Amino acid sequence: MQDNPDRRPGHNILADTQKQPDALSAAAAYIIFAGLSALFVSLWFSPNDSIITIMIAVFLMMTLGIRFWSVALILLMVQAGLFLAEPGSIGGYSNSPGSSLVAIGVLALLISCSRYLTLTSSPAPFRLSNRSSVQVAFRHATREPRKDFAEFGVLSRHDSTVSSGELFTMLARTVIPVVAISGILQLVPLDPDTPEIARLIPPAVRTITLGIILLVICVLANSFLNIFAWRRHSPSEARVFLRSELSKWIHREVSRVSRRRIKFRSSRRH
Amino acid sequence: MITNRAQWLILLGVAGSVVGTLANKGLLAHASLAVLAWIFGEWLLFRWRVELQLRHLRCVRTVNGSTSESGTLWTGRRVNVSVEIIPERRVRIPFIRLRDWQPENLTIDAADQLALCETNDWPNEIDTSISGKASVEFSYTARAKGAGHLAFRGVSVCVFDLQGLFIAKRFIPARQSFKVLPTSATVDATAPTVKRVNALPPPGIHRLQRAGMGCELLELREYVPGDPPKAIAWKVSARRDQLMTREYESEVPVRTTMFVDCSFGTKHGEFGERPLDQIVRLAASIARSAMSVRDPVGLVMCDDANARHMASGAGDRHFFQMLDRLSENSISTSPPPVQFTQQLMDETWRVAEELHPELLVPKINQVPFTWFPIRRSKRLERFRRTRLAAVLTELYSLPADQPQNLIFDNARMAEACQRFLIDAGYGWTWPVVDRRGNELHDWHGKFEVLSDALTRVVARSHDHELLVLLVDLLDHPDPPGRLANAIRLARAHHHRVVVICPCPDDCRPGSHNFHDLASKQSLSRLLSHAERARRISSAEKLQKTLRRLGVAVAFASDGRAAQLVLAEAELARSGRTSRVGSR
Repeated sequence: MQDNPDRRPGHNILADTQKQPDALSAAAAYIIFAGLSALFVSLWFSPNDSIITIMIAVFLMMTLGIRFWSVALILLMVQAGLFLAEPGSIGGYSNSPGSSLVAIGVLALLISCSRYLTLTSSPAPFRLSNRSSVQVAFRHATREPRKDFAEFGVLSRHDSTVSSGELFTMLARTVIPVVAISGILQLVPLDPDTPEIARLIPPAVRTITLGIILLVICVLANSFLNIFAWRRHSPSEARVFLRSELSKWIHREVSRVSRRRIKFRSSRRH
Repeated sequence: MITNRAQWLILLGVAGSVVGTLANKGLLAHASLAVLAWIFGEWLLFRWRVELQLRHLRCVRTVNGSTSESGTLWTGRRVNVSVEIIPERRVRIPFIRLRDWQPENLTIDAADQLALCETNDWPNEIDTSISGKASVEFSYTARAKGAGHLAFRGVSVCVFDLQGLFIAKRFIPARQSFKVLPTSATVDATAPTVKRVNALPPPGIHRLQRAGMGCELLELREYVPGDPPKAIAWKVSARRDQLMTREYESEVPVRTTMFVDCSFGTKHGEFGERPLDQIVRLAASIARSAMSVRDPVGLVMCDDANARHMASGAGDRHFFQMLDRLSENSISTSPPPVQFTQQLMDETWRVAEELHPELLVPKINQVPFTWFPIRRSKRLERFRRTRLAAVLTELYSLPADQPQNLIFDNARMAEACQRFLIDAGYGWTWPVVDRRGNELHDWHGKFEVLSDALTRVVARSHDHELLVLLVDLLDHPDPPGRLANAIRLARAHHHRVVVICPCPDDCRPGSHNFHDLASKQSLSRLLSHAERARRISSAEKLQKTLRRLGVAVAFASDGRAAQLVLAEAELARSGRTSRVGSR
């Protein structure tokens, strides 16, 4: 049975972590992560640059002050800040601990923000058109009850908390991708002579190499998962797949025959 | 399925990585690549959970304390449903939404769960996490709306990751089928409580005030040769100096035969609000009341083409057999064909997405790409229809060339969609069943069948029986139409005839208040008033015509309809022709 003994109907089990002393509310986790990550990002920049400082202040106000802020917009602002603040390093990547810390900060901000939005009835637009997204955001801003949101397929929880275990997984989620990317970046470029051989500028070679590496990783992982998933398909799924594959080959001929048959039948009726 | 949030993050991540790498902005490239790596990791984890872990979940549903695959429920009575999701292996799903599939013939009762409603608007749904082998259980109470059939299909599962990047829908089957029997109401007897007779006949036997072999004295008459000597009243004969014979009352059972209208028009509508639901409920109540005094009750179920007879009988076993028949005839199995519409297609797609999401996954159910139709919305609609055709072909084991036929042949597609929705427990409402123009009833067929059935019952019956016609006649332009001759025949055989019409609201003559019409400003209210006024006018006309034939008329919405039947039964038992007392 569940670790939690409460079996009331419709009971939100995750909400029970609120009762535990080591539990942290999603809002608190969001604020802490947002604050720390903003601190990381701001520390990296020169304090004398007034434009950057103002931008970071505005960014902090927006992330901390407005609850329902789009995650993609936050990332866009961070990227714009990084692009404007960082002088181009001619010698390639500054793959230093500092840059990893900034990446960890950015990632922590995104993870905490998106998790908070997901768990607290945010206007998370799952497969919605832009107009629907705006409608959902407006509805949420006007605090209409949950039933109205559900029509749009929005996740909703009245209260949610982040337990210490989940806090640890959040940390792991922030650190592992940064470490992995640092490792990949160490490999780029693979060969110092490649730019001369390919007759391309070094940044282009780096971009192409990086793209190829990431693509290969994606394809391999996808193939690996597909092999596992394919063996677990039910007979009906397999039949539908086979039939759809067959129809892909002969659909032009069969559809032509079907259309003619229907046309013939309708002409006979008239 | 990837969400908009993830799509935007990937787009920005790729753009940031390319710009950062090309412009030698190491920080930007590092941060953007880290975002991409994070989404990639989440995708791997999510797919692992959906493709492998989700298949290990099993659902066990308990309905009224039983996990049996079939059973019996009653309309309007509370049903306790408990659903348990059991992982067969160790799984870890951090955010999962479970919703027990709600058949259309079931209304979920949330009145006694006010405290829970604060956290959850739908008692049959739960947002939770599953870790290890710990099971998750949720329960709710519901009520069956209409008699017939009710099938629980399984649990709809929606899996999310905690960051809202991916979403996947699946369905865990847990099929349970129930027969829904109509609940019978207790009808207060209208029989007088004051004792009026000396000898009480045994239950089920009633005094018929015609000459017979009963116990109660009917009259004294002069002796006629051939009278049995024991019938001679010696004291009276001595007093009158003339032989007098005692004549006793007859003792007979009063048989009630109900004619239940199961035609197309009575099955149209939402479960619980169909005319047939009113008819079936009344039939059950009348049968129960009659059987409580051991009167035999028979049943004739008529639709637009056939009549099915059930021999009269009494006792609990016969009563339950009768409910069983009524329930069977309430099932909407063979609807009339419907035209293909976009609404029908949308509804079918929605239900298919709920019940068979795994068969609609683009990776499984592939669609050959084409540029035609050129308009994107129409092309997407064609893709959707292709996917749905593949699912319907699989579900109904159609031949291999059927998907293409379903794609291009609207009539076949409509037929398949209708079959699918009816199997999913949908009632005969738009868009599953279309009204035949503005006319719901096939009057010709219905009257033909009813007249034949009534004539046959009258031909086989004894005198003084009660015939209850539960027929929808309100919409007929000239009631009772061809039924009049059969009714006259029944009346000529001294049978009591009662006609009960189903009606959505109180349509007794004079029940409509026209004074507040001015305050009803909205068009829909005015329309509903006009419709009600039309019904009341039809009811007046029907009552007037049938009373001329000596038939009592009642409407199902009126709570006294069953009492009227009992009163008529009482008249039949007493042998009188009216309630005022003339024999």
